[in-house]
Amino acid sequence: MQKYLYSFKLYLLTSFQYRFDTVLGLVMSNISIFITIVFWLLVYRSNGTGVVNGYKIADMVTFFVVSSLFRTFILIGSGFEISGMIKNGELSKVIIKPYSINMFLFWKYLSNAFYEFSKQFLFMLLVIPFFARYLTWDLTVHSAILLVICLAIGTVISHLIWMLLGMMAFWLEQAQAVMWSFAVILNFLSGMFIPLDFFPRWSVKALEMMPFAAFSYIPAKLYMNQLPFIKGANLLLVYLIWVFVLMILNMIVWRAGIKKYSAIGG
Amino acid sequence: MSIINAYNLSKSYRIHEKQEGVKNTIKDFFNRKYTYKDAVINLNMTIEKGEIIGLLGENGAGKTTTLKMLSGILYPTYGKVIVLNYTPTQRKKEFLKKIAFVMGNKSEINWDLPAVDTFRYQKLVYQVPNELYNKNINLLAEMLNVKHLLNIQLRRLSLGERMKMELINSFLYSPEIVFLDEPTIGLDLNSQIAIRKFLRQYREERKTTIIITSHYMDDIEETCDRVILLSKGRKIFDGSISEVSRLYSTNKVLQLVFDKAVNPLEFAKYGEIIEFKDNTLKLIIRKEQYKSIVTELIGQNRNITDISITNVPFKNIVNQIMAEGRIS
Ligand SMILES: Nc1ncnc2c1ncn2[C@@H]1O[C@H](COP(=O)(O)OP(=O)(O)O)[C@@H](O)[C@H]1O
Ligand SMILES: [Mg+2]
Repeated sequence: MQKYLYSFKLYLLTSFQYRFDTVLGLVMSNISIFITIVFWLLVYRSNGTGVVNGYKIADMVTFFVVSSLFRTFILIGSGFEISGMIKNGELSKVIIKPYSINMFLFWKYLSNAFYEFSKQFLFMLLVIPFFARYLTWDLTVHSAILLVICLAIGTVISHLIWMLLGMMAFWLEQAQAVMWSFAVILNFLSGMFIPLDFFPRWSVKALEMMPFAAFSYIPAKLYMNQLPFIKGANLLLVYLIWVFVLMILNMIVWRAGIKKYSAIGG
Repeated sequence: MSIINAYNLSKSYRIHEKQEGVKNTIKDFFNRKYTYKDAVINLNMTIEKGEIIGLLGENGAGKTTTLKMLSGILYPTYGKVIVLNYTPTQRKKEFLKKIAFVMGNKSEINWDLPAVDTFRYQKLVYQVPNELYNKNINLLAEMLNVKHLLNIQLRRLSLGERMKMELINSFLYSPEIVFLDEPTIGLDLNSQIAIRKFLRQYREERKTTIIITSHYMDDIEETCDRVILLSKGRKIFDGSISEVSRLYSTNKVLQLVFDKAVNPLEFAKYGEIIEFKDNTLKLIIRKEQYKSIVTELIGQNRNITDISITNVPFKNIVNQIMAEGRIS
């Protein structure tokens, strides 16, 4: 694990050399949350009752603000990096190193996520004073525990899903284009734009059990203290099963894919 | 048991043939056409511990593909390879720790940091004990004369210096086999010489097995004990360096530049014409006849504006070996 952390340190050292990117990236990534929140504020204004589908304005703003924090732990980068490596032949150098490429990318993007999270958190501290009256503060200890576990499982799930999608590059030349389409679908199914309980009643249960709900929707609900402890715990079990299934799929796909790998270049 | 054994090792790449136009693109999507490129064909070889082998051949001869199969990057299409008693493509950790692969055109070292940061990372990945690490870094940096450059950001170094760092990065965990793919490509002559000298000296001390690919004869001639020649994916020669050197050095290419059109056939009696264009004639002559031919040509006042002599291109050596029928 030391080696994975050291590679993160090297990454940090290099990324500080590009400070402008860091600031610009932060502003850009928050524009979309800002737009989403403004959109919902307009919905509330035209609706006039102050409640939409059980969400008060404060619930809705809180939902998106904490979601944006939690979503920094979605390790989408693993998938794009592995697909790039497969396509341009960089994978050659990596597969003959005595470490697991899967673990390497996991730790790389996890440490990167902590970094992004801290940036996002600081940013929130700066802007939240202006929004404080729109936010709710109901987190309990029980929910907090579930929340942390859920985020941990969610981050592993996101890594595994994106690795699977990235490994499409073993078979598809245009894998990254396909991955972008998946990103839109996964964002939607994980409640990035609309909370999942806005979907038709029959589908909500299924959506909650999908692995994507673990990224930000369920953690946000836990933060808002809107999820019974038992239900939360049960969902975590479901997500653990997903981790297991996705790990096996990763293994199978890797083994099949690496035989197809043609090591372009060099 | 030899350290590397290859039996009928073969690799053929599948290439997707792309067609032009919208209609063809759609057709293509449902019914893909593939062609196959045989990059390595039935390669048999054994390599002993401590040998320095030169894998020589023109561009596209299959050298890189061979190294990729020996190191476990590529699965052979056919045949078998055993390296250090492992099947490379299983990529067992113990196996990977014993090999190194230096790619002349792909850097492993972070450009934005001093080389020493990458070395420390490499140390962790290969679990090199502190003592060995310090000893190796000192020794390698000294041998390559780059001790004063270890703490300088990589992008500030010259190409040759970067290649030396690349070598340190790969040798610092004391691998048993090192694969070097065109290590001197694009380097200035001094760096080339320094690297060749380093490889020989390192091998003497550590008995490391080293396999170098190159399409320069010089690279191989000064470094290797044995040379394996590949042509179009097939092995056409496997033997001591002196045998190839003999072919290489008995003949030379004489290049004549004329200031007006001439009939090239008038010169055929001196040697084999290999090229004639823009009033420039290239012919292969025997080295010992060089003087007499040049004296004769000058005496005849043939409107020659320039005379130069170079080594025989690789292609012609290959042709010569094939013609002599020494396909081993
Ligand atoms: N990934 C690949 N896909 C398709 N063809 C390839 C690939 N890599 C190499 N080739 C082809 O295989 C042949 C041998 O290539 P290579 O082993 O790289 O030769 P060398 O290293 O001797 O120049 C060449 O004709 C090359 O075009
Ligand atoms: Mg090559």
